[in-house]
Amino acid sequence: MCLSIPVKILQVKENTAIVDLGNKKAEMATQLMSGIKEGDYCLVSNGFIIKKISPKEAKEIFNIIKPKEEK
Amino acid sequence: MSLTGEQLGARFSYNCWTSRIKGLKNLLEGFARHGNNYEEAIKALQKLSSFAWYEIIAKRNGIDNPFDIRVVRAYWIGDENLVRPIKSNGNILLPFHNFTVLEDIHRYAGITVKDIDRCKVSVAKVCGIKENQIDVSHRALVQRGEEFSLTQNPKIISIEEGFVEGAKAEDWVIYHEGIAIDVLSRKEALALIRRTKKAVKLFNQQQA
Repeated sequence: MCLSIPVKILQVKENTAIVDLGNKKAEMATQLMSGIKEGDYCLVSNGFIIKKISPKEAKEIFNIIKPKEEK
Repeated sequence: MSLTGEQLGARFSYNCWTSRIKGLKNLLEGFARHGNNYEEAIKALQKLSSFAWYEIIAKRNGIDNPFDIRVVRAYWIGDENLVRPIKSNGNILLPFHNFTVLEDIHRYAGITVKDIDRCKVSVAKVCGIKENQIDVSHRALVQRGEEFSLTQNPKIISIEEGFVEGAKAEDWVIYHEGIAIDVLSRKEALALIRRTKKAVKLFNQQQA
């Protein structure tokens, strides 16, 4: 969407990063976004990290869109 | 003067969720309509996630300016030459709005299919004109199970006249978040419909 989903970077690997999706961890491709590090917040789309954002921006989006609890 | 990439980006973005959350709506609308506050508007556009897509398309095509009109059009309306699939670890990403708009809504609270339908770029024939409003035959995005599709039977909806003053019945208009953005030729309109169906199919395949 115009409003992409934010994630927190947990671990950076060679071409991917492990991210916190709120209710689970996932591995996302980093080929479109260089220079990310553990603890950064980023926007993701379909398995790819597309943009680094500030923690404040991530919080603003999480106020609207939240991952659902796993059942 | 012809439309710039920055202005086209502002037309599409000023009424979207992110602009409203960030309080950028009035600034971007003023810029889209009248070219007001150029520098501030550019900074605002750079804060939106659409700018990340412009950068990706520009970089992959050796275009220096992410606001190049070709790049902005490619992201919102599509362009087979500039928008090519990006592959990694079995995932395929299409830097095209009607692909990036699709989300696994079952995983998130706060997004509905209606939200995504409003956010997708739609194109339809004008079937009625009222004061500042246009009626179009809208094919909505729907979801059955996990799969998205476009409804077979269009429904008449009203959208704001936006940027297509002078549009007439039978014209093809493109719209986003309930605002008419531009008039397209029949060829361009059919191409956008085709690209949208392809994007939906690709997204569904990746969710399967």
